[in-house]
Amino acid sequence: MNIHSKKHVSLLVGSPKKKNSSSAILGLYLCNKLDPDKFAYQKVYLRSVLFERGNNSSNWLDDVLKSDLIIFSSPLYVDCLPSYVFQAFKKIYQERKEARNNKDMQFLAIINSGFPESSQSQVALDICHHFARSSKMKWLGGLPLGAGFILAGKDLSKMGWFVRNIKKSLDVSAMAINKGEMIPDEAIRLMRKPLLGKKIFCWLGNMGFRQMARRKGTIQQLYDRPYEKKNNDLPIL
Amino acid sequence: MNILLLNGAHEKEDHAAQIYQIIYNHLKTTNHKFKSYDLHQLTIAPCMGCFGCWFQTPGECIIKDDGRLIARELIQHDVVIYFSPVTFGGYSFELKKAMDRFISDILPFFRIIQNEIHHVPRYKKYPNLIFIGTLPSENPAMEKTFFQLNYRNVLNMNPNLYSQAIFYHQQPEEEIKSKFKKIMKDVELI
Repeated sequence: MNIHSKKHVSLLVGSPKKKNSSSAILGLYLCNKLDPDKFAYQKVYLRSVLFERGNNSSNWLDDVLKSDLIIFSSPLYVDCLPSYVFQAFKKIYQERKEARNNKDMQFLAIINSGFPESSQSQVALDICHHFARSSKMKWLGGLPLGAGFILAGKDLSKMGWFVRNIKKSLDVSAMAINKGEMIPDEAIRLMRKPLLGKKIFCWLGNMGFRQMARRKGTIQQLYDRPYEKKNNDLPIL
Repeated sequence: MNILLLNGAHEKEDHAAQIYQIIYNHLKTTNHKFKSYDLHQLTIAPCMGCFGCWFQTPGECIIKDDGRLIARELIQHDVVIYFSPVTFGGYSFELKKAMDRFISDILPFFRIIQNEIHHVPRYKKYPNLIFIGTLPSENPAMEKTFFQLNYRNVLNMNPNLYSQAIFYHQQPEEEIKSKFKKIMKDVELI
């Protein structure tokens, strides 16, 4: 089978980070589990192609529109998707609508949240689903992960017991895609499994934040309120 | 009361712009002081996810652009109105890029609210919130997502009161005004 007969996969990374991006790690793990005889993939960092000049990425939209499958992997930003993802989605939607690009396309989303509850990613997944449906793509399913930041900078394939459910979920998803099927409920169930309990998560997180502030030398300023309205502020006109 | 109106519609979006104008004009007739920003005319870089606003310059984004101005304005008003075309059930790029920069207005620390983890407020008081979305016509699935998203924002941004509505492109002006008055009532502006 030559490369032209392979299905074209676009991994769209919603994280602004290139290094240490949990979204990229999750998406790449899934792409690397796809049958290499059937699929070839390309990575697209959305913030980079939309905002960084001089990265020769003006053709990203054309490349994405040629895809048979889009794997979208993104962090949760303020309860939904990072701002520029809406811009990218709108561009893809407009092109599919106006250029009457009716190529069969499938869409799968992975959303990782900084909170431990995967349920906090549901609204973002619903938005992805609306986008896929509006753009006439086949929705393969959505995988919500809580506490996704623990993957940052690590090679998921080399991580052990702690992330076993994440890996299993992506393995099951890849098997389904290889067979041309939707993501099974089993993959979603595995990805939803919490990595940590709420109380221990809060305790560890809050301790980590204080350590970070100490390292940055800002522990005394951590609670600053630079925008607090002073009593003698002039009324807003 | 001091009202902040954030326009997340682009001027090219005719229908949304018309609805915005109705709301803007109505606010002008009230006794409230209000200030508005057309977000597409401001320079607001998308959040880089660096958490510099928590650990480097606590309470203020490290990007020196209009994102800082809007984050300050949010805290200094009594009511904030988010206006946005509903985009796949979410907000427009223009509004969301401002909202992503509001994390400087909360603390990094976690607490449990309604059995879910959320961030701790940085300020003693946050504005009441009004969310207004526009759609070409009724779309129950997207409207449901939009309302759920607003509710999640409320959990993180700590208003005492909030209200929300969707307006449709062909909706008569009188209907828009009357629904908007009801929303104003919800947040005790009337």
